[in-house]
Amino acid sequence: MRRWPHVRAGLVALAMVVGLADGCPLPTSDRAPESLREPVRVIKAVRHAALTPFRPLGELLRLRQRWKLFPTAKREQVRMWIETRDTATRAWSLVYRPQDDEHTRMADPLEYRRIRAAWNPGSKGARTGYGPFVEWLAAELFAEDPSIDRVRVRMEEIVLEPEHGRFVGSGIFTHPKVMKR
Amino acid sequence: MRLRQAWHRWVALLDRREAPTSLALTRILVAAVILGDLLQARLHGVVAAVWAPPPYGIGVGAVWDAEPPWSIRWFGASVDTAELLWWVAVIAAALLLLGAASRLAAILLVLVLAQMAHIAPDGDRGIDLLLRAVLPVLALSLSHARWSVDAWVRRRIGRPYPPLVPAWPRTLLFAQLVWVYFSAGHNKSDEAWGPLGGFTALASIMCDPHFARFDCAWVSPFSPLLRVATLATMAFELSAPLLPLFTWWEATRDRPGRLRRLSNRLRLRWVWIALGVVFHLGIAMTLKLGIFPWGMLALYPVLFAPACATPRAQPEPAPEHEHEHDHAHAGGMPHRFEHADDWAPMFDDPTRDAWQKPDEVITVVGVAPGMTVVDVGAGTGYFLARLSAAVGPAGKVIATDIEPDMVRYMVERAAREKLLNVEVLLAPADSVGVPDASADRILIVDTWHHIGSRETYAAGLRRALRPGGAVAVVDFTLESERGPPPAHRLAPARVMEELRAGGLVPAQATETLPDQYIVTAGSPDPASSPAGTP
Repeated sequence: MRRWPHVRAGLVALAMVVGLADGCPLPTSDRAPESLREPVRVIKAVRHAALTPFRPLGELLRLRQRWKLFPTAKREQVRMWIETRDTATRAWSLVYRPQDDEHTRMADPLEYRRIRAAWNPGSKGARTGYGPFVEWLAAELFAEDPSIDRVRVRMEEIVLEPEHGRFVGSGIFTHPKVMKR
Repeated sequence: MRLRQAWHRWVALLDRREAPTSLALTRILVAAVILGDLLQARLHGVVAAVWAPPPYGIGVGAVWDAEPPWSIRWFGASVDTAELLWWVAVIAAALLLLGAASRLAAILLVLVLAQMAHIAPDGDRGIDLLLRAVLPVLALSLSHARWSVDAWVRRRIGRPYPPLVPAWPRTLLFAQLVWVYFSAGHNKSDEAWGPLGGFTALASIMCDPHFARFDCAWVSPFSPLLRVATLATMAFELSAPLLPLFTWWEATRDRPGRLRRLSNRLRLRWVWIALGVVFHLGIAMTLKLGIFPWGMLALYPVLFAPACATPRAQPEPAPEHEHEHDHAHAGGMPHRFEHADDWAPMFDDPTRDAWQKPDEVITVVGVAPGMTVVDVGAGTGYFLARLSAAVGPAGKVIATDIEPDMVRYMVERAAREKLLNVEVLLAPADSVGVPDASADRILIVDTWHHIGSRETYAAGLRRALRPGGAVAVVDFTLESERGPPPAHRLAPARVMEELRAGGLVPAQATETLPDQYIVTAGSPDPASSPAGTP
């Protein structure tokens, strides 16, 4: 009997089992029904222990098997505003807003995968890179335009109304960050 | 016992070999998507912005993590490190695209991309992760055996890659793709993806100014269509685990089963794939999701088994019956063997003797001095020297194949090995290609399962036999770890039935070879029982 095919089949099966174990969805303890919390906790502990030998490889290559694509599609979203303040007049001007053809400053770099999601607040609020993103953006704008002394980035809460073919701004802003020259 | 059988099937599945086209195309497309993405970052001037640490960029992983990634520990948290990683990634992606030092390039690329992901964790989106997961598999595969600089160099130095490469990496990537879709489907928690939310998810997403490519006004009139699209998206993602089943049913369409028939009639496999293509192209047209749709489509070649697929080290010197594929007869396995020199190392592999046992085959078939023996589908002529010796100077060996290059190869081989009693013929696909009543023995090794209308072919065999002549069909058992895909294997009883339908009288099936059976049959003439058969 040739051994290698069996060894290889075993390794491939192991890779698949590890991937499935890693990707298997388990509810967080706060979302699981009371009666299932303990079993879920035990299963998670077992999974954690079972996957421990493979974690260094997963960490090295930064791999995991939990995949999401628009898991939520809520109507309450946000829209980023980038504004600058004129040093002389102290007036704020909108310079960029997505889906706004009149305010497109730095649109090309900003829209490269939304700078790798830096300005796309996640479901749990702003991403960790949001602050550094604003700092980088301000530095770019200050270098580009000597007449401004402030850069403000904030998110307007909006409601999507696809049945009417529009989104409606609320005038309420979150995640405001202001950078001084 | 069932577990054991399942295990053997699993081993056999992963032991298959196939032409490297699907994997090569996947390598090229994946590398192109990654390279294109990296070049876009440069074009937009955001390399430092994405992968340098604050205050130069947003690479927070470089400075905020308790233990920064090794690239930062080695080279420091700076713009220079971001530039270095970008350049190495670009070079590695370009090498992978060209197939130059492909394995090294794939390993280097996955390591560097992982570093970039550690440095800019927000920017490490699902598609980046998926493409990274593919790279180690490509590194372990022979995806560079075709359409690559590596393959070109190997040909130039006279050590070409084998025409067939291990198929397991494609199988694994197939499974990965299925899991990605299914996982994405069952992780959709919002009601808008389901009936409770009226299937409005896609319409909402297409109105989100952060993602929408166009003004949202177009969405309203298409709202009903987008609901259907949302439903189709969910059905598509959640049904992904059925794709391997659809694929299997299509490959075994000759087997019974109502679901199999229904799946094949509705072409469910193709419907699923078409949905995927439309889904991703639709996303690319309407949403700004970066490389996501292209990265996903780059993996679609793994859903297609190359036409030339066969188990490991499996010589199949067979006629190409693609056009004679006859489902009523379980069909001939389509195959092409155009370049004999590429196949020779496999067909004439010295290790083949151990399981093919050519001397035992010749003994069972009853080849004797003075006989005329026809070797049908002789390929590169593995049996020629032995048959030539067995029939002796007074006998004759007629080796046939339908592939001109195999015929060319055997002619040269016979001359080289001074096999003076060997004649090589280019045969038609649907008949033996020798005159009636001209053969004492007809040997058909690893070829019968390729033949389309086997009963008709068997009638031709009967006519080609001299009185007292015999036919021997050597083919793989259903349980063998070698051999063609299970769908194309034939039980000995079936072979006997087919020979009988052609007017021959099957004598017996011998199963003394490790992986194959030998079915012998003679002409119906009562005085002509297969001489030499035990």
